[in-house]
Amino acid sequence: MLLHKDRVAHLLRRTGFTASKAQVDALLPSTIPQIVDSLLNAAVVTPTPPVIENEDQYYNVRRRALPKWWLKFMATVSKPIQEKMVLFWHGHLTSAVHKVYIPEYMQKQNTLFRKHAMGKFRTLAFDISLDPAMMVWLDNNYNYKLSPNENYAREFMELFTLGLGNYTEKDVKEVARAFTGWSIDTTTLTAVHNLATYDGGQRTIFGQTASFNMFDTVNLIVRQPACAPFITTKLWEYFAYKNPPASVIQSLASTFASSDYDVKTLLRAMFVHEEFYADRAYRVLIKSPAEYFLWLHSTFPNAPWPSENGVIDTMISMGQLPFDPPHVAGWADGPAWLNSGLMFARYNYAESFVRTLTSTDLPQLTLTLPSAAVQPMMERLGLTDLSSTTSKQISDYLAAQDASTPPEQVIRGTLHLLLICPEAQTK
Amino acid sequence: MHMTRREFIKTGSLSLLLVALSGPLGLLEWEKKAQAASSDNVLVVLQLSGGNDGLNTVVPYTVGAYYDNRPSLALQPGDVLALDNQFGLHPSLIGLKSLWDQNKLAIINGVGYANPDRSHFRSQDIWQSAVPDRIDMTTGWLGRYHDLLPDSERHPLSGMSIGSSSKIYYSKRTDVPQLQDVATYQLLLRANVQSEMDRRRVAFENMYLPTGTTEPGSLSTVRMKGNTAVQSSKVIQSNVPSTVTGYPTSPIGKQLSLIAALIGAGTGTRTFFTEAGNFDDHTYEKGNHAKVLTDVDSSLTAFWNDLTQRGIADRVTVLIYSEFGRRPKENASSGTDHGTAAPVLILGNSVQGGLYGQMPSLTNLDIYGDLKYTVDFRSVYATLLDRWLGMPSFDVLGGTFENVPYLL
Repeated sequence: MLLHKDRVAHLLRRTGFTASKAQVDALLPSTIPQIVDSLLNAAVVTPTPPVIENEDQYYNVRRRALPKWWLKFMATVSKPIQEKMVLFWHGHLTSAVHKVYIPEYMQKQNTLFRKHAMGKFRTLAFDISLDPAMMVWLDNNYNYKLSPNENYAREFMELFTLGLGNYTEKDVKEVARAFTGWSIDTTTLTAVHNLATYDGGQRTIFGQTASFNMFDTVNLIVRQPACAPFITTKLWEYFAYKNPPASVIQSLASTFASSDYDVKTLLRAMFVHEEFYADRAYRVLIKSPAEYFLWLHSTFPNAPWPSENGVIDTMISMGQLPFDPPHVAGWADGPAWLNSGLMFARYNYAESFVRTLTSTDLPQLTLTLPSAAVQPMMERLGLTDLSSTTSKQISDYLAAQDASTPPEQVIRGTLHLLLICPEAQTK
Repeated sequence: MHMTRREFIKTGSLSLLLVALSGPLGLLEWEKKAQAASSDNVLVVLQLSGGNDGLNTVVPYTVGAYYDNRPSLALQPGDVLALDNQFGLHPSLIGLKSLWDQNKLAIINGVGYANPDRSHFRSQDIWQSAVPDRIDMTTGWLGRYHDLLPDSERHPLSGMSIGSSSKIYYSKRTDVPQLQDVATYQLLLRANVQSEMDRRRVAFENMYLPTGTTEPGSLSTVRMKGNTAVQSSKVIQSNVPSTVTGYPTSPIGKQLSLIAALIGAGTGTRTFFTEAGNFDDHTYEKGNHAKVLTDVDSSLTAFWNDLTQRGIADRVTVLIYSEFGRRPKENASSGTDHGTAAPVLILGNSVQGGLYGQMPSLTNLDIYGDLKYTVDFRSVYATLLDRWLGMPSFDVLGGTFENVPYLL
């Protein structure tokens, strides 16, 4: 059973990037439902578009602005749940710039995810189907009556809405026919429908026969009984823990379906659910590279950022470059983030980050007794629940110091150890 | 209950295999029994991700139906690198053709599995788990191989994933590291005082030592993973030169150069997994396919030259596969959609070069218009396990699969 203060910290870690003692203390007088409502009901904030310095540059130069632009925005929003949901949809309804290529398409998709981040899933599922980046990514702009391209139809059902085993190969072929005829107007960046390449005939999808168009078909698929549990499970695993019990998913999925697939209703039900605060949920999820990076930069908001290229290199080395997931299933998360090479990238980014901090970012740097810096740093980082094993290593490290090392270096060393300790990789 | 291996084989079924691997029963017994060869043979697995077009890789250049299905994509008889009077390699595969001429390349046609799945991820899972009919597998075939190695042959680098991680190494008791770049595969510390860096490194390494107790959340897992990183980094940093030349600068070129360096450094690694991407040619396949095949071909050629110069080529066999081939009939976007069976390539000095397996018919297709497989992919794995890695294939695959005689 978690104490109220631990529940508040847990909720903050899951719905945001930081959970400092100050943040938790400020929320202690409120109940969990009150905190959840204040998180979910905040007005949506939109970023100003990235500044692209040279409009004449090639796409592959211009697109390098995107990751830093979005990460910086994520670090500044006051209710990061909004951006965590944008990141969720980006990983779930994935497109990647290495194929889409045109940065404006990726940026437009990012805007779409923000608009529907906590809205109606049916609307999002339809709008993403006509999103230019998605149309390029899964080839639905090359899906013609005379030769249907099945790519989007298949991935839409397998990865976006239903999951394997909940449709047939015949359904894939018929849905692909319903999705024919769309192309991209490259001036307005919108989808246009062409009757010449559209297959307007009868088709049978999930046992129903009609000349379903894309809108009908998306609705038909989202209303399949498998869809609500599929999306509910994805969100539960993103925010709570892997492999949830069927009973939890069933009740949440029915809440989701009966709200006409309202994501905010589902999130509220999840975040006030007793199971969300179960012991097995606590510190069990691994911070994604984006979350780890943003934990550092949100905790020290005035610390310098790497250049646009530096952000890209850092995120690639940790395994998660925004706008460029490796494939259509998004990023493999959880323990996959803990692979050796990716772990060293975290440890080493933290090392260079710590060296950039000044006493304005970290007032403890001016202390003459390094051990006095430990508690305030742990509180600021949200690591007051450190295990005894890890705490002992920190105190042994401090105890082993001799006069040869300036206190300021020891304090930086301690902060580095806190940022790379096992607990800091979890949320 | 005590089960001998003989009894296990007699009663063996996959579910038993899983119990034996996961439960307290079996592991110790298995360690004694697993007579893994003490040779230092190395297996390199190269996955061509995205679904490589098998028909345009090993081209049946005399079959009329091939040309009927591929009005814009077919490779002409005069363009392919003929292997015999029926098959020819894609014109980009110059290096592989040369290895073929040296009798080092086996090509197995028609490799696949029953009820083929056309999803990239599901089909990659199937190739990596080697259990096609179960969707709940939590181990990969190389993961099970490493689980079964005796403790004397297990160490933090006994298997390595170069580049991305892979389900091929999912296992019950083996943590296989992933390595992208040697120089940064260590804790980098920069401080004015050496003793301070030493103290920090000690604290870091100790924080990740297993505690032997059950800890909340994922802490035990994080510590185990971090400890693997620490241990494997020590071995690599003390062995491997950080610069290599002679390879393409592409990801797969870098990955293969690293594998050669690691084998050359004597890290004792038994298996490597790596992948090359961009094979998902739904649109404008012709130019892209030639480009990615060229990259793979020159990288493999450089790899083989490197191994030969190091005098270690005899120890290495390479398995090259893709999660599926592509549909014989091209689509309207000058590309091809997800298909089924495809050729698998095996490269090595111990390989009996030549063509194996039955080429699937291009006219007798399945109801989706795809090739019907003729060789179960697990037969290819079984041959490698039995004849190269010295591990009884039944133990890893949970069944008996006929060997393909590309290895003696």
